Amino acid sequence: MSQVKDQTKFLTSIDRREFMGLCAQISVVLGLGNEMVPKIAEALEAAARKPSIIWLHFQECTGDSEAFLRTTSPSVAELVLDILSIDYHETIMAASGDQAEQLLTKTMKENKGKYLVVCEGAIPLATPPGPAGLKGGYLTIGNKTGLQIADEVCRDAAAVICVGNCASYGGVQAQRPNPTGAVGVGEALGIKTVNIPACPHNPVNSIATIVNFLLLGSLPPTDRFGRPLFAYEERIHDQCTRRSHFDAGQFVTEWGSEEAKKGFCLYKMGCKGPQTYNNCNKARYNDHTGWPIGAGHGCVGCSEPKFWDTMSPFYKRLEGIEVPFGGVEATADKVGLALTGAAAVGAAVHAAYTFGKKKEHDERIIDREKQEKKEGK
Amino acid sequence: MVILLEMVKVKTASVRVLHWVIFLATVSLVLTGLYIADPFWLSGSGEAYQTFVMAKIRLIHFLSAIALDVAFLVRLYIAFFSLFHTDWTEVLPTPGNLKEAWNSLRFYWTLEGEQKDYRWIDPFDGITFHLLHLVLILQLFTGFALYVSGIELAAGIWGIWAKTLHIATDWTLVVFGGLPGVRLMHHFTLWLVVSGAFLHIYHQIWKTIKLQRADISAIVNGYKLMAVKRGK
Ligand code: SF4
Repeated sequence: MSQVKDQTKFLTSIDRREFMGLCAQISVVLGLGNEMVPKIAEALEAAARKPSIIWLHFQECTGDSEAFLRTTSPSVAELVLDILSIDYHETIMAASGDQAEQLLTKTMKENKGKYLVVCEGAIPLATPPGPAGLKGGYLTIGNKTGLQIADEVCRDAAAVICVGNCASYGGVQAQRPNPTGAVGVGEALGIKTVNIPACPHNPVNSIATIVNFLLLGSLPPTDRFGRPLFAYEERIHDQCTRRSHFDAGQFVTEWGSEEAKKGFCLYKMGCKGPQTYNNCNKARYNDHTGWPIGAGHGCVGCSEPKFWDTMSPFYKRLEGIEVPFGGVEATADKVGLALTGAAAVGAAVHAAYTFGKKKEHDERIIDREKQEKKEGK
Repeated sequence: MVILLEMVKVKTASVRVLHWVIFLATVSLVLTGLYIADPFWLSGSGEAYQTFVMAKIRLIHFLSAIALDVAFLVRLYIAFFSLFHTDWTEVLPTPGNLKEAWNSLRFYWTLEGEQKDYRWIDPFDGITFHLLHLVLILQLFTGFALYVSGIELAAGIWGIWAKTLHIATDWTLVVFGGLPGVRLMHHFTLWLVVSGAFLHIYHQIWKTIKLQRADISAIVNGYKLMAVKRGK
């Protein structure tokens, strides 16, 4: 009965066309064919299996929620109220304070072992100084540390999905020197999570992961960083709209130049597309309208672990490596050239010295030969 | 006794050919590698379909890499199974080799005492070859790790090739911290190859002039001079 009711609600409150549009998009992202679209719609509509979702916020900027709110087919209201059952989301739920916490406990109790947790933000593990210092005390919500909350909520979850780079791998706050000891949720709790990294993540990917769970009852296969293969199997560089310019050797060398206007490759402007796995160009952001490289900015590699450390400087192609002495930051080229230079100088010194000594050396040999002759050997 | 010098055969034709294949491949790899790292030559503002500069240079880079790796493997085979002379023990850093290499190094800088006449790879060369080949192997693995990232979605035979490369090279991602680290390492190692090759060339020229044993000719016509002690 409730299913019928839900479906009528769909027909009245949601534009059916938009809804099917979302289903088709999800089908594409998951790599399924057209014939799967009705199945996806069915799965989303089946109220009996509609899982309850708890959305947790940790150290983050709410960018992933923002991205999530940018899905317009269907709109977030429809998504939250009708399609998914997002029972707890600190930013968009109406309840607050105690009421909200009660809601959380209630959801957890009623759906024990069945609810999905979506985590947004990193979890700090360091202990702040001072007498009240608590492990993970750099983040507390309602007198509990982020670590405690995550542990409590994730323990009885059917699956934990991390959205955004922070929840997945720690993000910007885990950048060197990482004062709060921030790590991703999976690492903090020592559990396996499905990670949908990027900064922010593309909601199509998180919804597709949830749909995958509803359709098949299991989470999608992932790569070694816990990222679903349907979205993170291919590099940005291999699906980039500017790739033909890369192969042609046509590069932007200055912002706002004629080359930039022509849409040349951003490799020389520091694009990290060749090192980054994501489906940005295929799925695109904001209802499939745009993505960074499409907008003229190089990829910064935001779906890769530790991208703040390993991909920066963002506007340079060859990242600098730190040389231990003097705190100088030198690039691989500088160190390499210095090394080659040192070899050249060493060779020059050696040549000058040994050829300067030539006479002495040769005379010694002649002397020895003479001596040997004399000895009549 | 008079020291007589005699031409002795030290390198077979196959070893010499392989050496120059490796030389040419390395030069090509360094030049194309520098271009790929920083495309200093731009192909103008025509349409993209009219030029293919980067793609072609990458192709040369890949083909040279394959040539180098195959030549290296064949050379390795010869080192173990040559009918003329197996020389794999001469490049191992055994205590004996290390000691002799140290003596050579001391001689090179002080010119005191005598440099022994070596017919085959002398221990100092042996140790440097050992290091240089380790560097080349590192280059091989990091290079293929970067290469395989571009053929992730390959299917069929190509897919098996991609899987094989993944199995062989995925450890570099762990050791050097993902593709950016591997890329940096691959680039930095280029300079190790360049400086190593420079020292190798200098060393051979120096030896040829100073020791008067025609060392360079060994890699060209296969013969060098050896001191032989003969009668009166
Ligand atoms: S813009 Fe970036 S991702 Fe696109 S082709 Fe150029 S380097 Fe590759």
